[in-house]
Amino acid sequence: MDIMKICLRAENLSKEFRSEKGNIVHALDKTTINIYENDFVCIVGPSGCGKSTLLRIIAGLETATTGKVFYNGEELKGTCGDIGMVFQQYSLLPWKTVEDNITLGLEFKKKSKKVKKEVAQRYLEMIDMEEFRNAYPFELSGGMQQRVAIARALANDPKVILMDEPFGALDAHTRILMQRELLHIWEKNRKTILFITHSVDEAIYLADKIMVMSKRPGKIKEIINVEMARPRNRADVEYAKMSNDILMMLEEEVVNNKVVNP
Amino acid sequence: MKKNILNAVKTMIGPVVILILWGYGAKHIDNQLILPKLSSVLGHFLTPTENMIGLGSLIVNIIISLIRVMIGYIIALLIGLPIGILMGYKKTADQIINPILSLFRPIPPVAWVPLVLAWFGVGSIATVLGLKQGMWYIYLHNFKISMTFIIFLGAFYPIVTSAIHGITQVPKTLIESARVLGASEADIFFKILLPGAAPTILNGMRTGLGSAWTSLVSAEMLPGSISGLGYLITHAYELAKIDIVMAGMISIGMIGSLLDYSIRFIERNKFVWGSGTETDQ
Repeated sequence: MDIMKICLRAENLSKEFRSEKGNIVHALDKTTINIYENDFVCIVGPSGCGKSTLLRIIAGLETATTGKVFYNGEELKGTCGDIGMVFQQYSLLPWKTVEDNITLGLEFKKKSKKVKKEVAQRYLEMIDMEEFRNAYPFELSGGMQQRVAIARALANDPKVILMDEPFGALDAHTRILMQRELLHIWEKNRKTILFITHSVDEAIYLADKIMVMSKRPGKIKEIINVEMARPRNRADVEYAKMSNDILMMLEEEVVNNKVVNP
Repeated sequence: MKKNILNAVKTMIGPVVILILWGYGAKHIDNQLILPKLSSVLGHFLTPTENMIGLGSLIVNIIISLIRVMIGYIIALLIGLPIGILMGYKKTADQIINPILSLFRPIPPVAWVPLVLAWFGVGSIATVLGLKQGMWYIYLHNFKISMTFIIFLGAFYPIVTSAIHGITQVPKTLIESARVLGASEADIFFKILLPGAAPTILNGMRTGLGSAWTSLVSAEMLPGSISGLGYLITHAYELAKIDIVMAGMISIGMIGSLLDYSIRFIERNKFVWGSGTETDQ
């Protein structure tokens, strides 16, 4: 394998904000992560550990208190066309059809109707929803909505896609189907993906690399390479062992949390 | 199809029951001053162009009232929508304007009457345009500034409030996902906030039109009014013509609900997604 290139680097990111009660909350503590090109990275961590904040800072939706984000060696300020994002839910424009939602990014770039039509067609095929091109989001199931949200992010042709618990609101069965489909899409285009989840199982099923975060203020506690061949089998001993190890790490964090912060 | 007929029948039940009770009651009471006969009231609707004891015909009074409401309403839209949208969009604007609005909001339009009269007197659109005589003067003098102001007040608050609410309730994820996709600030405003707020704003426009129409009666009771449904009702009452009073009331009710229905119709057809998301969450 070639020497892999770091495409996204978050350096010493810290984030403090004031809660509604007025106390200062440390969401992130000097977190540094490196994401290599074409990698599928999952971040898991106890809830409230600041993993979403980390992602939002990388996306340019929030500013870090200290630290910097680099994309291909250049410092990022604000959002960047090469970095796309998929949110947990309800991010499609309810007044636009599936097709118009997919090409939303192209609309902002003032692309012609013809280009939009072509791109829409390609991604409708990819997510297998051609017959829903004229449907509105409220007519779709949660899983379908997330498929459209993924297609919308891809249609903008980013190099990196950030995913903030995109399947978190789906039922268990749909979630497994969506994981399979996401891998299927990813294997076709190999975009760099940074995926946040609180499901250890999801992380092992999807990722090349799992970053385990500590409790708040979050930092990366451990990086685990997942070398099992895809599609992965949940019944594998290796799968189960890895799942168990990571769960133990997380449990430690939760227990610690209780002692330190009763 | 069958369902449609059934639904139509259901909506007719209420009015029919009222008509029956009225017909029976009128016969029983037998006093035109307390409850006029069904036929004498409904008769006015069969001859809408007939002049009623010097008060003008029903249809002319309705048209004059409608024009007055529309003038006040359109001014309320022109002023209320931009202010409300600005307040929803910029927090500073909200902080500056909101204290003024919340002080004035509880004052009912009628309470403004003495002041309004002192300010505008019997001035009308004709006065504003500098007309002193002629045919246009006669027409336009019907549309008093004082009335327009009262109607404007009635419509203004629901419109402003809904515009503020409409803009601020657009989910943050919609704005953020647009940002990540490369939206400019103008894109966010015109392609996310405005369409996202549209159903709420339209709903406020409907409430505003309703309360503009309701303020009309108070507006048309102002001195200097010599036409309109409100005038028709007050003056028919002075002449003890209760049947005309009731014909005026029924006209107000029917036109009000017709206006309401027409905006609902737009809501239902243009903003299917608006009601869809509301029931979703």
